[in-house]
Amino acid sequence: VTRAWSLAFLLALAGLAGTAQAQSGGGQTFLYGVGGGKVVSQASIPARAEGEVIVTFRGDTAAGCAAAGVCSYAGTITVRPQGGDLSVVTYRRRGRIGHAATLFLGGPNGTITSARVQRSALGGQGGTCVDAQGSLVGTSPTAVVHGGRVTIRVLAPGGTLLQTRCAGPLDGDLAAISPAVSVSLPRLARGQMSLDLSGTRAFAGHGFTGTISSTLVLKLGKPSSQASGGPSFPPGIKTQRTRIVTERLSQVRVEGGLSATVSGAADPIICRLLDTCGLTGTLILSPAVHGLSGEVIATGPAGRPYRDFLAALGLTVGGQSRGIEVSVFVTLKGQVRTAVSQAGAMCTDTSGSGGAFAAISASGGLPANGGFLGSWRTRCPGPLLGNASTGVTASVQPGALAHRQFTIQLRGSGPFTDDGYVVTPNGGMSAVVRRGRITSQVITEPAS
Amino acid sequence: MLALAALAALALPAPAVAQQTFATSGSITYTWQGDPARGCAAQSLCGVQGALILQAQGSGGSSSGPSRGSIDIPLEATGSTVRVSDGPGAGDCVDVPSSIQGGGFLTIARGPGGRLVGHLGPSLSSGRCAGPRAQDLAGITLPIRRSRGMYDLRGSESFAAGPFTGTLVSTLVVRTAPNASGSGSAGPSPVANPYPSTHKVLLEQVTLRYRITSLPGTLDASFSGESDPFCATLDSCGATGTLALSFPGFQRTLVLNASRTVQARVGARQAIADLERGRLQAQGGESGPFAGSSTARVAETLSWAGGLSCHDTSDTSRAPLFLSAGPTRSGGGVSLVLNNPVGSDLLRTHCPGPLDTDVFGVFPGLARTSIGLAELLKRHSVISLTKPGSFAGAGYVGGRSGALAFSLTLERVRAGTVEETRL
Repeated sequence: VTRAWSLAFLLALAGLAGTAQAQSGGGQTFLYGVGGGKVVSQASIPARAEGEVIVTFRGDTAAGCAAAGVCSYAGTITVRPQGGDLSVVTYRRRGRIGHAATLFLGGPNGTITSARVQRSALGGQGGTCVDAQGSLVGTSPTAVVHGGRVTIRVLAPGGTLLQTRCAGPLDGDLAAISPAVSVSLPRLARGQMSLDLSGTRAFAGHGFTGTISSTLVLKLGKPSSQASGGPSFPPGIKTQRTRIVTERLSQVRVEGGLSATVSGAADPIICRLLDTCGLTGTLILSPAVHGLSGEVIATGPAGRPYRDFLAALGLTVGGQSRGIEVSVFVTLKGQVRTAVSQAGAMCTDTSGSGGAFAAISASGGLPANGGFLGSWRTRCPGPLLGNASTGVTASVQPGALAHRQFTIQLRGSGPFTDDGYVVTPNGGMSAVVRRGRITSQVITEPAS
Repeated sequence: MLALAALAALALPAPAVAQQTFATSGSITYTWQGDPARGCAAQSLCGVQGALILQAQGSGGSSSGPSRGSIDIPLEATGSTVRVSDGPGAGDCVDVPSSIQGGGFLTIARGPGGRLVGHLGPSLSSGRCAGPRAQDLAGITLPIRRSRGMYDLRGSESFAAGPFTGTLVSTLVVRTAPNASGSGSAGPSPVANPYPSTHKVLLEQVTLRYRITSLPGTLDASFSGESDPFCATLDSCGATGTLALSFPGFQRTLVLNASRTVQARVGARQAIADLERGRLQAQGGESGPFAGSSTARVAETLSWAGGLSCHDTSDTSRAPLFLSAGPTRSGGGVSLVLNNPVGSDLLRTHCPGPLDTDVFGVFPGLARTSIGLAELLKRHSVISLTKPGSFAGAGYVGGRSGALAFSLTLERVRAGTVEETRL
């Protein structure tokens, strides 16, 4: 049951993150960036990356730095992916064929993105924030497919290639002017070509002026196709068929707000190295949430009657719910407002890609999990809460699944550290959700 | 990563506890600084102050450890960063080595006297920055207080690592969680029948067993900091240095098998003749336990732009090296490769500098050579393994040179035809 619960949670996360689940032939494929659809074909093209992206910036009054409080920051961000993977998916949605292409950048060698940002202080001592981010699967840029052509940009709105704990522009600020390449979809799908993403552009906005300079070239390898019929297992592996019945949840209303107070670490060695000594601030996930996504998922052996799953979901009284695992998953996304104070200066900013998630086992036994979701980074310095799979607790009322609407409570929980930051979540959100469309799928997985 | 959050409670098969779930919270913080009493001045490292924070929240899953009664709990390390100040007037080194991204494990086991202790490891280190090596941190244990449903690892421990002294501060707490309803297992899936069908073939085969011992020789690398701004993150701008890697006392048994399928049995003389004519395909590796008793020794010198320099020598005992053999591309001999598993950090000393993967690449081959077919049957021979070339990236650029010399003594030859069962 634990295994089934984990599986269900993975499925739900994929779905809640704006991902379409496509059922085909008993298997399942996740289609990132497409809001629903059946996968027709999928190809993965490995890429070798050469070159780098360098962003230099400084706070500039002409770009509005005074209003945001970023006039004191100047720095350089370097991005050096070692490789990547381009996924090209063909899907069918509402009877029409569509295509999606997503590029993942990363590499095995550790640091992908690094930043060195100077903070000047009038009449006082400034500091230097140096941070680095490594990722085995760095995400962004996202390719746009339109009219049979694919346009790939170095940076994309909501991307994380420039993201560190230091102050600086966001990916979305530079997305429109970042170097891009356009290629026909059939040509791209054949792989074995170079994508030249080099170029230099100047920018001004969101408080900063600077340049983005790219020498990035992606050398695509040979594509490997993946059948849409789901995974296959080597001979001899015992498998089992599992039915997953998913009931979509829609938002009725959301009240309250999650927030977190942040401060620089007390240890002088640690805070100095990230320039967080004496820093205090607040991050608020706006109550005007962009979107709530949620699902109730019932998971069990495919041989069980369908009515058993409906009974477990509280939708009928005619079945046997014992042995069917039921879990509730929800994500909330919204704007993040930040106010950070350091050495008498205040930096304030808003970005639109933060969120929170919760996973609750309605069958009992397992603890609820929750945490921060997406990027809570703004142009001010701050922690990387998107890495925090903690800090949020969640609950639903007992017997909630007996009703067409029910309430999910999310609350900030105990403090935790994020490198040179101490983060204390607080506040809470109450989400009233309405139950909706039900879908069922059967997957094959290794037997437990 | 989010999936890890979901997996914060997995089943633990253990002898005494049937199915137990765990949840972890807190963090591990290592800080270190140069210590004059430990000779930091001679290495120009007295100004060094560094930190590494490992978050444990949300990481989950547990399984029985390799030894009976131990518990392994993975610690998530996404977002963890090594930060080192190289001293007044110098810069800061910030690194996210891939070994840290891979996370760590907390192993809870009985220590001497039957007390519960926690081990952290095995791959946490200061990365490319000045600071403790993985083997320095792997030896630290945390005392555990156990109360109802909780392993309390909060506390601090001092440690010494070469010219540094440091402190490990733990706020780590592992709580047992209620069991899931029903029963489940996070363990590997059962294999119904891993070998569903087999058949037998005749192999003409020559098996050669060698004693291989190291002779004087080093694999060398010279390196320098990358150009600005790529050197800024590692504080390697203007730095130059050298590394010399050797394996004193390396002694292993190497077994080569050269074979081909045949329709009828052949004798030993014929098999050896076919080996010499290149008709058999060779492959092989070490015989005996993996990661034998080899010691890897690296000597590093690094000079900063300001004129200061750092010299250090580091020994890695029980280095996880292994030799592998295969046919050369031309088929006229045997290719022999000395492999170094990724993450073993043989090149790291307490000075800053490049990682093994920077110098030798992410593929594990440290050095290689080829042995001609005629050489294989010599009683004694000397081979030289090398991997010359250049490297670039991750803050340092440089070149590889030098060679490792080994004495190869043929101890036993077996030749003839054997019957083999195949899938």
